[in-house]
Amino acid sequence: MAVIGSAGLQAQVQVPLPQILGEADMNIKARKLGDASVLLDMVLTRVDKGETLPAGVALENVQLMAANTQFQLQNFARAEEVANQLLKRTTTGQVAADARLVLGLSLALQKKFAEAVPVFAALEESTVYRDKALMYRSMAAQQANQPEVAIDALNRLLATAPRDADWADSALTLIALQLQQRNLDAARRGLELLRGNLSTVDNLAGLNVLSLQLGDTLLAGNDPAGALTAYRTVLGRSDLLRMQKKRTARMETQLARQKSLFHGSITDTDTVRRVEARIKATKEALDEIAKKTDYDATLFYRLGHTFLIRGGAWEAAIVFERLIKEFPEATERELAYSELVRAYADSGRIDKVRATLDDYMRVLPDSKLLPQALYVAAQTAFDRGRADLQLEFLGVGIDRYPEAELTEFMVLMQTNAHFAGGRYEEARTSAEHYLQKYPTGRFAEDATYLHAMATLVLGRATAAIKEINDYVAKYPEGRFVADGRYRVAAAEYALSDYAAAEKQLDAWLTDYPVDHPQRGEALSTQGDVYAGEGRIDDAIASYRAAMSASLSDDQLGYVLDELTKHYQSKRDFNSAAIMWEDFARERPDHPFVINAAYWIGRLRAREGKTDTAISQMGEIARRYITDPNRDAVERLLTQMATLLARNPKPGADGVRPPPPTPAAIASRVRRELLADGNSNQPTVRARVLFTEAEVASIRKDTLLRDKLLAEIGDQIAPEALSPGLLGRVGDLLREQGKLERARACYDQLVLRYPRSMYADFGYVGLGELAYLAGDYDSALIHFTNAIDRAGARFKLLEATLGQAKTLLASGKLSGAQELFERIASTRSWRGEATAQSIYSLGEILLRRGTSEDLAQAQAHFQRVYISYKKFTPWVARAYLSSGQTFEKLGQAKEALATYREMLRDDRLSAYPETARARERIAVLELQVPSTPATPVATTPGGAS
Amino acid sequence: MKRFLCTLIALAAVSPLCAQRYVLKDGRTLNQADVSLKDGNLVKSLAGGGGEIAYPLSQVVRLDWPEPEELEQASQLIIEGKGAEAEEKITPIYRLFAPFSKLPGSWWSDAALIRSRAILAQGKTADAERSARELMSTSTDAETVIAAQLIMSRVQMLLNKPDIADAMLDEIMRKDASSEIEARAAILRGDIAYARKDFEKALEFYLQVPAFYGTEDAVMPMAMLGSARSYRGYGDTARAERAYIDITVTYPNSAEAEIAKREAAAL
Repeated sequence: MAVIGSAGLQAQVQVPLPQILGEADMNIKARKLGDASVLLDMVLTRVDKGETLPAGVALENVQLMAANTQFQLQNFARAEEVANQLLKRTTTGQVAADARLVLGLSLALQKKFAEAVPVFAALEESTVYRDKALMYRSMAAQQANQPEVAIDALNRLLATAPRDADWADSALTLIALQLQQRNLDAARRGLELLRGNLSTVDNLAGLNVLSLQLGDTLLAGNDPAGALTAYRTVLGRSDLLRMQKKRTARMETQLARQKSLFHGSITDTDTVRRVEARIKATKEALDEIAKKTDYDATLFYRLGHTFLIRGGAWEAAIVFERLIKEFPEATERELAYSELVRAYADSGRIDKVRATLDDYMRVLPDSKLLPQALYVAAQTAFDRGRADLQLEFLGVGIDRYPEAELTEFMVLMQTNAHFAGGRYEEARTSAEHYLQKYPTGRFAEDATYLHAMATLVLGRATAAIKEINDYVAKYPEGRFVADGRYRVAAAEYALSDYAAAEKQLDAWLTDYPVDHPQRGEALSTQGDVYAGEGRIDDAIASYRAAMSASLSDDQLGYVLDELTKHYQSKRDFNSAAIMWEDFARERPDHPFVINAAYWIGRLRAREGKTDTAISQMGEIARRYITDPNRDAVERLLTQMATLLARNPKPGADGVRPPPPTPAAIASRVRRELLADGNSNQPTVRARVLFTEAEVASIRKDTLLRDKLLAEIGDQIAPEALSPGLLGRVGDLLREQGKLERARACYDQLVLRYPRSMYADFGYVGLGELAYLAGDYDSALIHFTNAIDRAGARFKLLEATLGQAKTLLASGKLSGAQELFERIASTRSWRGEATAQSIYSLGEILLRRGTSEDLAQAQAHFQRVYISYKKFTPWVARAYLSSGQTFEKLGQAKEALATYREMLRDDRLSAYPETARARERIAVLELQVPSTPATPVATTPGGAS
Repeated sequence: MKRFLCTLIALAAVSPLCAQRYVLKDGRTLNQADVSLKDGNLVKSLAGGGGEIAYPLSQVVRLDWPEPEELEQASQLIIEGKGAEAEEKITPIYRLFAPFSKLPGSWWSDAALIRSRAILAQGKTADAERSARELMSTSTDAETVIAAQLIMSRVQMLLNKPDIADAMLDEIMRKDASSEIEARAAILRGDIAYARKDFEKALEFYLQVPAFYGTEDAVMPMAMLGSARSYRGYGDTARAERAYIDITVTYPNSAEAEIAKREAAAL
């Protein structure tokens, strides 16, 4: 029976309530919610009028059904009304909880958020709806502009709710609120928590946005460490797209499942609505991200910038390099270039600075940030001692950006750089440029004074005196007045105007306090003036006074040397020796202690007190002998060995005693160097052996020397050796074929003492080992490190030769040729390296193989066996290669003559090249009949 | 009516899936607790001593199994430098899933990879190589295969053959890989450069990990230790010291933290 017919309510008969309720139930099941709602309202109206519900049916259940139905029909006002009526009668139990859910949601959907908040708060008491109530309360509070309430609700929800997609969504909302409220710690903790539960997060794009926001906020709040943590959690574009697609698919599956299980409940409806909204939002975000091909550029820039601020210059450089490479059109590129220059500068990689600047200027020549980058680069080049690059950067900056704000700084820096580099004319020109362009500039005083100093250093003393006096007149309170007045005295001394210099210095010493930093220098010059006047005792007094004032090491060395010289001129060896002994005692850690030991030995020896000298040197050496980090000890021991190696003087009877035996020397060395309980200390043992080896070396006993050094290598662990010993011992071990022991020494040297003056021994040694193993890539790196990193103080030739031969072995002929030519043309390297280089240049030409190359190669080989006969390994190779070149040129007779000439040199008989030459002779004699067994040429150049 | 109301307001509740069971071709399931593995069959004893039913392993098409907690525990032990304990922890899981190595839902690949890393952490190169080869031939997961190839490359490094390791890496990194694999590859490249004493290049590899893979905590201490050593080799003692301190502060329970303390003291 239809309760409501087509004629409508007008025609209704008074149908019993159970029947109407049954009809409503059927309509709801058939999803005819409109009809059901009319029927339920009818029931409620009749109950209001006093009719009684059927037994077992409670009014609040009917009200709840009605409210639910209205809600589903989106009649939120009516749903609110019915739910409110219910809650007037019933405030506890499941029905009340259901009603509150309907009421809260109805209010929220009517945008009555503030009214909804307390309804959801009350709903939290329900164990069934607690989580939903907290979530809805937070949403409503957010909309009602009650962030604290929302945060409270979300915090309580997240503490206990199961960790699923809803939980993650709520966490995202909470983080956004915390950020909005600037509760940064809480936001950071929230993000970390989410990152730890990444699988629950459906809205990864949203998570990325929040991470970026948090990073930006923390960075703006001067918390780069926090910012970095936030940025590092941001997913890159490809990861984000890949993962978000998976998440979206998962959400769609969930949505389909949700719809299939739909029971018509309010929470089901809301869940579906929220999942749909989430899918829509993430798809939109995904589309946007997919369109932005340079999406990662903004993240990379933030990362790099933050690393840089935190002192992570290396990491910053890596990130900026990638940004520039992968996003050449991104807007962040300009900033990235600028900061990449700074990153390389901060990490001290000046060559990379230069390469980046070249690229930057080529790609973005009009960038406003270039002057700053050039300035940074110039400053770094200065810090790294690369004056050439510093001037290059400054030149470009000044020429290309004359009106930039930093140009004034750059011109002054250029003046300083020229001055520091000894280019005084250029310094004067640069200073004039500054004064012309910025006559009242910030650095006009500096430029004026630098100009005067450059004039002085150029030897134009008279002009300099005038310029300095002009400066003092213009800047009477200037920063350089004291220095200027002192320089005037020095200039007068240079002009041999001793009287004027003396007067100027007297005035200076009177006008400036005793603790003035230049007082020592002034007193030293006063000593020079007195010495110039022949007043040696006054000069000595002034120098001694200078020693009591502050002096740089250079100045101190000068004063000590001058005093030693003047004492010796007076034959007062004792005073000089005492001066050095006092120095060594008073300044035991000063680098000049080694000089002191040298002079003590020499001066006491002049007095005939060699024994005393050795003992005093031993006393100084014992102070540091256990410490392998003190690599100056070896220099002192070498000096001591010089005295120990001397033959004894004749006695009173005129008879010279026999020279001490190695055993006697060893005994003396031990006596001088060993102290209580240190005889078994490995570093001490090594140094004792080293001293004995040095004595043996001076006495030309190379066998004993090598035996002693080998003992160090065989018996003492590399960890106990000083850098100097590691290099020497490593080389000997390598020569002896003990390659692994040698490698251990070299490794120790480059890893533990990379800044040692001997570090190049380590790199060259490792390069040679790699070369021997045929690992040319590594060999080249080591040889290059020896020069670039260690400065190649001792092994520049070996390192350069190593680079050259490695390039040759790897077939990089042009690079090898350039280096071999450099070695061959360096006069100070004349010797075996020259022979090797000339031979190798011949080999390069031989490999190129044109007839012209072969002729030139021949000339190189002949030059080796004519001009460098002493170096037999290369002579043997050169003869053989020369013969082979003749053969390639089809000149069999000349080849035969060359091989025969080679055989006549007995020194070459043991070389494998000679055996090879014999083989070739046998072959060629078959081809060249009745060849005379005499050279074809009259010169010693064989076939040449 | 009541049923209707209940239906109206019911909330769908999904209970967590925590069963350990084998799913057969015909859709039936066998609880792990009810069966044992015998002669290539899953054998279920009937109640009351009424005999046994054998299900051939070929009948199993899928496993419904939560992630075994030993995976996480063994991974953590590796981070702490306890390779032997990690191997001991993970091997039973590796064996449990071995008959089902290629089935969906099986945890064999994960367990085998962790076991391989645990063996590698003990420096047992031959065993590590063998286990990596087993993974490469057995695992159906492309990501795991790449991880195994990376282990092969690492073995070459341990055998002091950096050139071969480098060439293998070139080959491996042609494929798409996860962030974790990329981070591990960067560390290996750093190790190769470090072995060649090319400290600048080594730094450029090691520091890719904190720069681009900042959430890969499992490998971060390795990368940081490599960078500290490379800074030291490069001559930048200040940065080396800072990197050593970072390791000890940020990853105090890692194996690298102890090494960092020792090496920092020798700076």
